[in-house]
Amino acid sequence: MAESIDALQRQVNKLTQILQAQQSGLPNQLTVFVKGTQASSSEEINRIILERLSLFGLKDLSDAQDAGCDIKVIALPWLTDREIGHESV
Amino acid sequence: MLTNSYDQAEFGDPKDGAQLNEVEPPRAIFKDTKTGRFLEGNGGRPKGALSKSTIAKQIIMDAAPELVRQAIELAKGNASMMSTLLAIALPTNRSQLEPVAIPGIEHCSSLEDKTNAIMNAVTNGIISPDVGLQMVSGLEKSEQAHRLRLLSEQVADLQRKVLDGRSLVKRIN
Repeated sequence: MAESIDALQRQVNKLTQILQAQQSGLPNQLTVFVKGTQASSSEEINRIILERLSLFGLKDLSDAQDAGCDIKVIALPWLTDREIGHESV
Repeated sequence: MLTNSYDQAEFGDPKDGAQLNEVEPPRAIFKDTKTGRFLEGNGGRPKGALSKSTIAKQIIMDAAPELVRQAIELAKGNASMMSTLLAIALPTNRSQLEPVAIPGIEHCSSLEDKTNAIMNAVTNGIISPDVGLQMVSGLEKSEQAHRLRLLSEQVADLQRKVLDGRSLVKRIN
């Protein structure tokens, strides 16, 4: 029974985070631009996405999808460092 | 490849009764070594044949009175053997159904208060420590079940809100 309580508590925490992200203006589509060199590393792309999601209190890509947000990654070799991670709005 | 015929003595002869000292050494069974099936004319274990464990049990049961007499003799001066024999002879104590009244528990709303009321009852000799322990354990289980129900309701409510909240997600087209 204790395991069930822990599992449900984790689910409550996760759903609360998702709800808060929705209420804090999470877009339905998050486009993340990465430099050409960064695009060659999936870990680096993941880090950039998670950095963007953390602005909405999310810690996981699946949480963003559950919240109704699609993530797009576009690699642009000519992008400058300053523009990296900006969404397309 | 074929092996020797079926050996009835391996399982004991149902007609002659179980006599372990009359059992001959087991011989190979008349069956196909590839498929493991008995070949034609060999039906396998005959109806009513006794298994080795049944024969062994019968032999032990026949010798039981003598074994008990020997155990009683051995128990004289042997605390361990005495304890073993008494454990077999005396019935195990089981909990009795009797009403338990804990003063003031009806006014307690929290688990902590209820536990304290039970502990007070144990301290004042109103209930025995083992009954108190069982009651506290029961309270904990009840509290867990209550929490489980609340969490399930909370999850269902949040899931509904998250689905509704998808319409709140900022539309970017």
